[in-house]
Amino acid sequence: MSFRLKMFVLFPLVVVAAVAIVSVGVTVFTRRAFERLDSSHTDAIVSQFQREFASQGQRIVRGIQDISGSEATLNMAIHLNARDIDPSAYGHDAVSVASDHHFAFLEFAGNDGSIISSMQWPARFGYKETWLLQRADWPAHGAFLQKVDTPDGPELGLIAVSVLPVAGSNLYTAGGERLDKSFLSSLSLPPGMRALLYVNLDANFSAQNLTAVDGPAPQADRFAPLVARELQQPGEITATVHWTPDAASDEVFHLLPLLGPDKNLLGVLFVGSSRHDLVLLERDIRRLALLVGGIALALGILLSWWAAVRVTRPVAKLVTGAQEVASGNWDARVAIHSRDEIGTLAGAFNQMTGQLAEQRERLIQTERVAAWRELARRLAHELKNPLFPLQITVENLRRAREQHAADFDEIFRESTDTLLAEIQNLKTIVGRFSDFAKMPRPELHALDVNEMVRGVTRLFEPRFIAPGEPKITTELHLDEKLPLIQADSVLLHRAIGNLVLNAIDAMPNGGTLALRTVAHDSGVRLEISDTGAGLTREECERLFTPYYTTKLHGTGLGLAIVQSVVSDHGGRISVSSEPGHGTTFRIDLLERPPNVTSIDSVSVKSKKPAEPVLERKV
Amino acid sequence: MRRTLSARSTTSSLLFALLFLALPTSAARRPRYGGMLTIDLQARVTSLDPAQKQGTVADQIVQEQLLRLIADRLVELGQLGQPKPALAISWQHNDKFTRWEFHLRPNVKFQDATPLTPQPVIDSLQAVNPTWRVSSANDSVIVESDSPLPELSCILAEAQNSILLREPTGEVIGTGPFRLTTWEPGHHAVFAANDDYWGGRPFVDGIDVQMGRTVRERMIDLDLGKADIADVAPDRARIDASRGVRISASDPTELVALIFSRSSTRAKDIRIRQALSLAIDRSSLVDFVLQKEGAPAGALLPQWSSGYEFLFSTAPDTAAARQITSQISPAHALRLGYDADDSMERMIAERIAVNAQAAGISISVRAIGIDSPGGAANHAANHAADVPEYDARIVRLSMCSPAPEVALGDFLQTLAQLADLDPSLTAPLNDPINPGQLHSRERAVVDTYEVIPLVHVPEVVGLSARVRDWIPARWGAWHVADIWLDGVAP
Repeated sequence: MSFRLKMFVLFPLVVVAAVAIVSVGVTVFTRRAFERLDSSHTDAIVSQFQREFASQGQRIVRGIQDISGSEATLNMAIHLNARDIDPSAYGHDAVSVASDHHFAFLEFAGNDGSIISSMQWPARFGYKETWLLQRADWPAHGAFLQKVDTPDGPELGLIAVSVLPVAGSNLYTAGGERLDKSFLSSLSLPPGMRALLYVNLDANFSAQNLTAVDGPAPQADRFAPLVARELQQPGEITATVHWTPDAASDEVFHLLPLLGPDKNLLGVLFVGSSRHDLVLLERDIRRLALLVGGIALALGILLSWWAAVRVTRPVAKLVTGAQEVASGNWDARVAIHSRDEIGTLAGAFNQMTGQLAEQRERLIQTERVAAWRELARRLAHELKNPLFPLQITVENLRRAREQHAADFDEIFRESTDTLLAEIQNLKTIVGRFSDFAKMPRPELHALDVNEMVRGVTRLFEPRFIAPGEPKITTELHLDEKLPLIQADSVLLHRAIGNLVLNAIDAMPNGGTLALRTVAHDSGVRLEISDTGAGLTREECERLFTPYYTTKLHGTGLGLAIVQSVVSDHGGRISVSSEPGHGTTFRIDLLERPPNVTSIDSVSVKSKKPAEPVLERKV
Repeated sequence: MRRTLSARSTTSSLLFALLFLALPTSAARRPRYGGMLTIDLQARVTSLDPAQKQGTVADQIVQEQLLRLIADRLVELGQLGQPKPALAISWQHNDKFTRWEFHLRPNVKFQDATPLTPQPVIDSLQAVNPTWRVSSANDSVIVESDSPLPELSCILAEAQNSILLREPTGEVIGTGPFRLTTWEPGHHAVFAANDDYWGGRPFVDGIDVQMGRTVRERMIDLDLGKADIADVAPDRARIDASRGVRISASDPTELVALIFSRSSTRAKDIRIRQALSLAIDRSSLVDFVLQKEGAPAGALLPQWSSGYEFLFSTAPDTAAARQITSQISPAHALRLGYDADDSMERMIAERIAVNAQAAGISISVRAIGIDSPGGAANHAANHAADVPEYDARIVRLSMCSPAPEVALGDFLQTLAQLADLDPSLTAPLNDPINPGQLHSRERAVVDTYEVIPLVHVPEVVGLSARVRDWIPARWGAWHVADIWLDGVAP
């Protein structure tokens, strides 16, 4: 992925990530704010319910005490203690008294708990309310929740009991208010909240016992598990009811258990808070985030494209400049004039390439001088050897003419032979240099490298076994699946022959010469190894330098010629050596050399010789 | 219980005359003519024609009371229930009680001055007794029947056998002490004294009857003197009396009973009916619901009428009921219905439900009648499901006659229509029958537990202070013609 593409992708990603983080943060913050608000509302309603509960309880206690302390009730108690007891006369009293005091429930019961008059269920007269006898401290008990039997079934009441003792007998007055939807209506609920009351009067959950302010609660069966939890362990709990798969219908309920005097669960107050507004707000935030994210993404794409282009354009110029430098154009320069880091970098690049060009020029000049010096030295060395005999021979001739005239002819003949020999030697030296200067271009043919290797080996075979010569053993490891390659057989034969000669020279005491061919993806590999003394790293690095030789009488042109041949075939040559363990030359040749036309090609382009690859075993 | 004394007889008139002469200061107690008697009634009577049956028992009773104002019967019943002459001055029957001959009182005129002749009598009796053959012979009316009619003289004393002229407009004209001057069906009626009444002109000049009055309105009218007579629910009699209202109650003439529905499947087992009968505390119903205005009913007829009701147990036996219930374990609650407009029925039904619950029988109480909340809906729902809307219901049966044979016969005739009783048990009492046979017939009916007698209830009225000589029959019939108003200018 390019730097421009990276920047192009990175900017929108950053924008989207930022929007996403902000939207998530806002959503979380909003949700927590809603939850805090819900919690505070719920607490307020529960507190309001408890205050209302306590207030109603106080009113009921006062009312019951008033009834119990009234003259009429006292007369009733006195009458009931009389000998001629006729409680039926009071059978309707509870109805009228309860009506006067606005009580939904009221009962008068005798000393044994028998109902004298019942407002809520007049037909139960004479039956006993045994629960009235279970406590003696009713006045201190205040108002409490109590299951009240009525003709329509049990109901939940907020009840108070007052006891009127007369002549050793008690007259119980028990009454209060119905705890139902009308009680719920006394609660002021904020929008989105509601209160439900479950009256736990049946053995099992009954949907009819769950009421809202405006009547029976719909889908009351959904509350059964919550009531079951309260029945199992009464306590304040909070639960969420999912009415539909839509989260907007969710409702969070806070459950407040309503316990009787014996801590038995008689009812449950549900304070519900709709999640509708929260979910809608979250959806709005999400939609807004998507909208903003989309717009930001579009803008980000445009801006990032512009920025990427703007930022990466000088970088691309730098890259182009670097590539030109890498391809050898040392004069490459980057035209960037900004004052930022990129401009500084471009300036540094231009300065660096300028310095590199100067250094290269100096290096070339230095190398050129060095080469000329080396050439001069080599020429001087090569020429000095024949010249010295020439000089001696000429001086011998002069001296023989002057001092040994008689022998002059003999000496002259011998000296001219020597002169001719040395001149021939000079011609040979000059010819070698001439040959190196005039390396021909390769003429490519289909070549079987294995066959060529065998031919070179056969050429040197007599020398390997010649008497007086060091004993050299030849090993051929040829890959029979080696493909034919396009190569100049003469040049390649000459190069391999040079390498074989070098190997022979490297093994003055004999050894093993191994030639190995291996096919690879793009061509063939040829390895020529000897078991000679090996080369040092410095020797390896300079091995392919023209006129450099490690041999006493070498011209230093052999390996240079080999490198030139391999390079002209688009291949490459490397050497690996380890002192004491021999040397291996490795030639990689392409099956079809690039930019090197075959003999049928219209033109053949010269290719700059490849730099040799040096390997050195440690 | 009667709380007023009769004051209209020749003897008493003489006595009053003597007292008037001897004690001038007691002149206020002397009957005097004049004044408008005002009556407040809860019932709504839509017609005075006895052929037009009223919707409820209470309405039916009031229709009969109003009918007695404008019309007479051939026979009246005395305080002991014995027949005595009215429009018929004498009568005789054959040995088989299949032919009766009534001699009409002479010189009697209808309120439109039409003389009383046999034909209107024939028309009146034939209209409501289609199985009879009614004819005339000279000035006599002959009633014949294929089956014996031993109690015909008592039957003819019933209000439905009033002698009337039926006008094409639907108006009825009788020979009674009052004539109808204003009639607003179900709301208002005004009667004027019949100056030509054969029994003598009534004391009051007229009667203003207000119908459809609520309990509260009736009591207020009584307190304010806007009403002289108002009917009072038995269960309120004690309360009203404690407020100073004069209360007059008849002997118990109404049977409140529980009747099981013919189509109910939940009460087919006689044991559950028996258990329910045993569970009911009838004394508590009388004491608390009726506020002691009534009597526990073990039989159909009250003790004062039959003389043998004490042989029927009314004591509850919850333990026995529970034992029976434990054997049958009823799966469904019995649905007990009551008249939605009748608070006394509702209280009785609720009390029965409580008693039954103590015996292990579940009863759901429900109102019957389209006027009741949900009544129509319940009816429709139950009709749709083809099930009765109740398994049993509270009914009120009014004694048509103090004569036990007549009253029981009437009860059985009604029960034959309401309860799932064997026809032999509800067959007419044609032959002369003695108390032992009446008891056996009642016992047979009660032992089916298809009908469970609960209480006998009197007719109760409240009276204003100025009403004098209020002496109703013990079975509740008003004798308004004997009433005079105190403090009325002559």
